[in-house]
Order: sequence, then structure tokens, then C-alpha cells
Amino acid sequence: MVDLLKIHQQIKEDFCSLTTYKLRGESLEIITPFTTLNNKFVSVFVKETKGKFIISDGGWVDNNYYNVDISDESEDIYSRVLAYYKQSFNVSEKIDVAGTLHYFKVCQNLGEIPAKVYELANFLVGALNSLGMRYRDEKEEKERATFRKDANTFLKVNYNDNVKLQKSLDDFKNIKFNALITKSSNIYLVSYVTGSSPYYFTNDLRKTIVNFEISERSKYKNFIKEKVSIINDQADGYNPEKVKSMMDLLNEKVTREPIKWTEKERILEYI
Amino acid sequence: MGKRNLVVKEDYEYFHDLCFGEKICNSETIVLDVKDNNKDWLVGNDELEHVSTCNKIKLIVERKLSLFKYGIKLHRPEFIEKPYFRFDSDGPAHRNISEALTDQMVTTPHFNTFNEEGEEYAYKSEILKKDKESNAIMNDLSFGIAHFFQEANIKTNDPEKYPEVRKKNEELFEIEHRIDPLRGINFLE
Repeated sequence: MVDLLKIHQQIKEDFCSLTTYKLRGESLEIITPFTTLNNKFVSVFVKETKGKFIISDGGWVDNNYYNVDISDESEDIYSRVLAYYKQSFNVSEKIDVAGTLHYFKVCQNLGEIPAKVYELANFLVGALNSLGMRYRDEKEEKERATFRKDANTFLKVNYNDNVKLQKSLDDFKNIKFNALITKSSNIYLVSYVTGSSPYYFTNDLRKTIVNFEISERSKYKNFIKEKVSIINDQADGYNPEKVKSMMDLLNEKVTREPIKWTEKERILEYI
Repeated sequence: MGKRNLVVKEDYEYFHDLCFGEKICNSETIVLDVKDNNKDWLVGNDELEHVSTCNKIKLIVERKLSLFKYGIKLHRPEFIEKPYFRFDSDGPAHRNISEALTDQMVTTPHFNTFNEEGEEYAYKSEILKKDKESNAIMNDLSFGIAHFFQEANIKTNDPEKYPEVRKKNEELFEIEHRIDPLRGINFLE
């Protein structure tokens, strides 16, 4: 008969063998046995400071050293998820001089270190796996990515280095336009509207309207020569009748009538 | 756990040849410049030729500024969207899920690629298994380039020489060689 206690012993030994370390100047990297869904072992860093001990992620989440495939479409959800994990594990934050965000916990004495390492490692696994999760449906992601790629290529081919993709105006960093084209001192703002369902399409339309509205308040207002929206009229979510009132509103916010993707050559007349 | 790369799985022989088949590098220098989307990284590219297929392969060299860390990658976007063979000087240990538990952890520095099943896996070359050599490579990009070229079978015009990695702006490299991510941060303030 199998010795059941031996099985336990074996598991314990193998689990323990997965904890290792690296010395990094005055800090100690603990490579924990906890792993993310993309198969990275989570590391935490321990350092003594003023008689206390700091347990930190070393900024590895913020720097995405774990190579998590993060979709920038779900930023709002990520921040809520991270806030939830932070609160649950009582984790603090600190930004270093390079602008990197560190998640950390403080231990009052040596005896607290293992428990805090355990907690921070659990926090990291949860947070990292949540960052890799897809919160939008795949069809929508695919449609959006395909349209964005086609539109980006069209602009790149025609305007080369004058095009900056996913750019914001310097004074409104949180508002990104799909493309920002500069020609001499003129700025051309370009926003795409697409969606795999009427719901997503309308949302995108709303976002475009608001972004153009905000650009009115930019200090670069007088340099903005044209505001152009490109409407993906081949998208599944495009229903001209349903979005008519919002299209009219968009029309008020742009300098040119929204351009349908099937008539994309018109862009070249405006920019 | 982790997505399998089905393109690799379906054509593993070609993939393996792209990784380890002979490639030619004609450049004597690789120039690094600040990355467009992340000012803390320098990046430089070069084009290699894969001898048996004449395929062009992109060699990418990246180096972080605020902490010492670099990566060297091979990329053929026509085959796989992301780089398919990579050297990481630092960063998290990788878990090879198909191994016995005690053999699953592969710490950095390591090479990262795919196995026949299309699973991402990491390994240490024989040189990287030796502490002294591994440390030297981890702390010096030019040693890393030489080792990467040997491992990935990249030949140069002069067999004794590997491309020199230069920065576009000289002062960018004159920074402290920092490996402690917590150094200089006052967490208790």
C-alpha cells in the first residue's frame, strides 16, 4: 500500500523547492512558487529600511515584466480590478523617480515577512491574471482591431511619418485620438467609429463626439485644422437609421462631414 | 495554462529551423535609440537572412535605462505576430508546464521559445547554467549579443566579431548600472 504520508512529504519538498532567490544589491528577490496564467513565477523584493522591512513587486507589474497581454480598451475595468485587489490585500503604492508604480507592504519586524510575502504574491497573481483577462467580447475586439489596422495602414501609406497613432493632445493626455496628423504647424485629429453591435457602435460614436468636444478646450485649438471622423459603414453594428440623431450631433463637432470607410478616398481631399 | 501557438505546432520543423538554422548578419553595429512609446527603453533593429529559406528575420535588441535589463529577439512577422525566439537577461522566472514540478522553474537569464506542442517554454543554455558565465552575460549586453549569436546560429562576416551595440546619443549609456529595483525609493514617506 502507498504510504500516504510519504506523498505529503513529497509534495511538501517539491513545493518548497520552487522558492528561490536572487541577491540584488541591498534587496533580496524572492522568486515565489506562485504563477500567473501565462506561466510566469511571481517575484517579490524584500529590503530593510529604518528598522522595518519593505516587501515590493519591484515595479514589475507596472513595467509589465510579466508580459501580460493587456488590452488598452479596458483600462477603466483594470483600474477597478486592481483597486479591489489592493484593498483586499491591503497593499500600498509608491511611484519612483522613473515614474514606475510599486505595490508594497510594510513589515514591522522579521517575523512578519513570510506572511506579507505570501499576501503580496497572492495579490500579484490575482492582479496579473485579471489584467490578462478579456472583458470585451472577442467578436468586438476582432472587429475593432481589424478596422483600426486597416484605417491605420491607409493613413500611414498616405501620410507616412506625419501620422502618430493613438495620440493625445499634450494638454489632454487622457483623451486619445486614433490618429493625429501634423503638417507644417497644422494638426488634423482623426477618430474612428466602429462596433460589432449597435451598442458598441453607439458607444464609439459617443466617445468620438466627446473627444472632439474636449479638443475645443485645448490650448492647441487654433492649430487644429480639421477634425475628421471615419465611420466604418461595413461594421455589423452600423445602422444609419438608429444612429442618425447621434451622427447629426457628431456632424456639429467635426469640421467635415463624417467620412464613410467605403468612401475613404475623401480623406485625401481634406487632409 | 497559457495559450498554445498553433502556427508553431503546425509547422514546427520550419519554426525550429528559423530558431536554430544558420542565419547571416552583415552589420557591424546595431544602433539603439529611445523607444517611441516608452522613453525608459532603447531599441535597435537589424535584418538577418535565414540561409536555407532566404527568409528575412528581424533581430531586435532592447535595453532598459533605469534598471539594467535587456532583451534580444528574433521576429518574423509574416510567420508569427510576436517575436518567436527571445533572450531575457532579467525578469520573472518562466514555468515550463510539461516538466516535473521541481524542474518547471527556469530563472532568468534564459532563452524563451516554443516546444513542439506550441507551448511557450524557457531554457538555459549550457553556458547560462554556469553561475560565473551567466552573471557576466546578464550584466553585459555585448556578452549577451555574442551568446545569442552562438545559440541562434547567427554568423557574421568575421567569425571572431559580433556587432557592436551603440547608442544614438552617447550620454544615454552613462547611467548607473542598477539591478536593485527598490534602491533610492523611500517607501515610508
